[in-house]
Amino acid sequence: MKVAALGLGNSLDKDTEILHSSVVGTKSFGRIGDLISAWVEKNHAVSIKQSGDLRVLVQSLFQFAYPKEKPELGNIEFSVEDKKIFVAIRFPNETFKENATDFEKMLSQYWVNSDDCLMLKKILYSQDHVEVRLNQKLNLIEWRICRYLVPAEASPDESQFLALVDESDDITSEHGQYTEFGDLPYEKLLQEVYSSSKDKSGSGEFFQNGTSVQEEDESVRVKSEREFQDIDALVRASVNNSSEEELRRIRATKETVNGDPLVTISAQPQQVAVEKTKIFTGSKEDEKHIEVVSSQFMDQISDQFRAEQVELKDSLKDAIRNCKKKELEADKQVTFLAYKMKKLEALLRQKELANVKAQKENKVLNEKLAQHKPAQKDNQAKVFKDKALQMYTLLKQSKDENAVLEKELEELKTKERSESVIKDHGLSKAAETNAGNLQIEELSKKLERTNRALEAEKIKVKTLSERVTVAEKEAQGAGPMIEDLESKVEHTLKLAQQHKKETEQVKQKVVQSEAEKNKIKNELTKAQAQIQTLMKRQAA
Amino acid sequence: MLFDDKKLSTEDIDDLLQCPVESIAPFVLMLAPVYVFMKLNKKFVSVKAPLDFFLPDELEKLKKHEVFYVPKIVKSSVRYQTAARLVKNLFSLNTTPANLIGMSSFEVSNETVKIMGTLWGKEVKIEPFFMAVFTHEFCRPLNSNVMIDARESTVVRHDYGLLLSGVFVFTAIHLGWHDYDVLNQLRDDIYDRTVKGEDWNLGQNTFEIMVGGISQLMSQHQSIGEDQLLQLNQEWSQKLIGRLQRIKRDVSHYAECSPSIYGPEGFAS
Repeated sequence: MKVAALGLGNSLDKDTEILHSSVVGTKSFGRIGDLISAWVEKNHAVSIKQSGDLRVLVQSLFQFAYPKEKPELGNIEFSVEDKKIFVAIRFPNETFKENATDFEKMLSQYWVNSDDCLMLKKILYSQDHVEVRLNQKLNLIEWRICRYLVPAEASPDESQFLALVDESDDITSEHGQYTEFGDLPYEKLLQEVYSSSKDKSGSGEFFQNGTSVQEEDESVRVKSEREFQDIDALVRASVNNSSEEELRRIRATKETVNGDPLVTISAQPQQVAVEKTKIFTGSKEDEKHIEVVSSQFMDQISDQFRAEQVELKDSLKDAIRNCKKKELEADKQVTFLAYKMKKLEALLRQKELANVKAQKENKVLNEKLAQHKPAQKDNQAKVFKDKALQMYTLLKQSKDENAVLEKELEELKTKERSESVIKDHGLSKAAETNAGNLQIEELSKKLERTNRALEAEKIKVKTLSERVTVAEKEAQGAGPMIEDLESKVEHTLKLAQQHKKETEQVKQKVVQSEAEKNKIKNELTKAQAQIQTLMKRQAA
Repeated sequence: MLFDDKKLSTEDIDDLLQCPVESIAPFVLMLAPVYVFMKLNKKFVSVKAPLDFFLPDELEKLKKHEVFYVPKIVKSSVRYQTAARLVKNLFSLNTTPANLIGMSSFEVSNETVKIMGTLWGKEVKIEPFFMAVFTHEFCRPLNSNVMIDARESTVVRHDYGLLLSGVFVFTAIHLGWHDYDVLNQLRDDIYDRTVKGEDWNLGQNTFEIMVGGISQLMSQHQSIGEDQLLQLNQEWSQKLIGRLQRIKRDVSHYAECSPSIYGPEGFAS
């Protein structure tokens, strides 16, 4: 361990708790003093005076050590060990800039001779021990005060001031018990310090989860009439007492300062009013009387003013605290809403994307359907047409053949008739008859063949017509496929509409959340306006 | 930042999230590798590494792809960003001139740890990458020209500068450094000096000593927790351990560990 090492961690026991905090600016130093004294009061048996003195010591030490040139990041440490209180405040060194060889001597001289230290010296107890540690390399200065918890235990031989200089280039520590001030149960510790500022709950005040749900306009219900009367009586009594006391005080000062005979002033207001009429007479007594009355009046006014100011300050503090709370809550809400909005927007984007995707799919399906439908229909129609044409030509051919055959049959019949006529006329020649018979036989055979061919053709036509019906049936069978495609398209259209609806819903939600956000903003502006009016009132 | 998979196959689509190209702003740090889908090769090809950023003309060129693909781990960064915004709001609320009384330093400190404590996870450990994600959201944007120069000259220093400054700001907030302007200034300073080649070995003040310690921790460990801080033996690290003790009590009921960029779900090599 280095002798002059910075930080309480290098001087105290490893298990001793050290409270610490980084400090920027002077703003919250009073409250740190309050917290330290409350902590000491709670954990060590000290008197109220001692804890009050400790509060003053911390604040004075901070004011003394705080660099005068610019606000710097500082460090405060506090601990209690072996019935001794240790307060250490560290800042970058702004005071001792010159290249001195003997810094220890210089620091001691500064403590003895400088006017900066006067205030602190006045606050210190006679047994208090002051240490200043300067780290030249890191340019840090640490002011440390050691005070006995019980002043009687202090040893009279102990030196009061010690200056130490160090040249280490690091702030090492093996101390394992550091506690940041923020980690202390400060609300509990400070409860007693600020307890007077908290109002007790009135009769019939409603609570929910430990917090009051009392509206402002309901305050009449909470405070009974009797309470108001009591308060009025108390106020009246205090005013009368104070005015009487004030008169006595004035009387005493007049006696001692002027040495003049006692000015008798009645405490009763009616008599004062009578005395006031004497003002216009211009006598010495009257002048004195005017002075007394006017001073009395001024004191009363100033007292009232002070009381009002205190009241105003308190109410202002409360209002600001409330506003701050509201502001924090609103801020949280705004952040939450913004987050929600972002989420909703992302959802909306997703829905839109899905919508676009569905629309695209729909389009593609429609196109496919459009391409598929006419082509299929055309193809089928073409096939049917071809088949019908084929059948028509076949039928025509068979009809033609039929007609030719019928014609030949008719010719043959006419020939037969003419031959029979010749026979009737007695022209019978044996050769001619034979030949005619052969021809007839040939012709009848031919007729039979044509009849058979006709029948075959008829069968063919029948099978073809059957085929046509089958093909027609097949064409009808293709219908469900198209219907299926159409249903798919309808389904996707429905999906797209659903997506659209959802998108609209999400949009509405976004609009709602924006409205909510605006509402919160308005509330915030109102709260700020309230603060400003309160401030103006205070300024007035 | 170095990462494993420069190309991904179509089978990896389930592990990726989509992000419209138009939604990406220039100079914003990427929280994971960014891929585009190449239709010809049927592969996802990386176009940006983690902690890298797009320039306006780069985004214009990649607009035709319409969508970027990023690993799902990117979602783990969201809570760090949310916490950063909350802490930033808390700090700004405490410095507004309208707020005459304001919160005291210990009140701010307590509220800050309440917000940030959960980020340490059940094991009370965080990887520097996620601290950098927090800081990037918390602080003002870095100077774009400095960023471009750093990336063009030494990408490694750019990454290191971002991580180092990120860890510093994250740690400093825990130690009660609640001045937003000071923190921004220090972050810029660390980044600038790191990209210029500073190693932070010889600290001349509290801030430099702290950065040196963090640099030492980062070179030795993948994540920072109580065990790692104990090895450092510096005053600030001991004080941070004190705060981690409180965080440990606060998050004792948590089941979730802090995320990791290493391992099967991560991307770092």
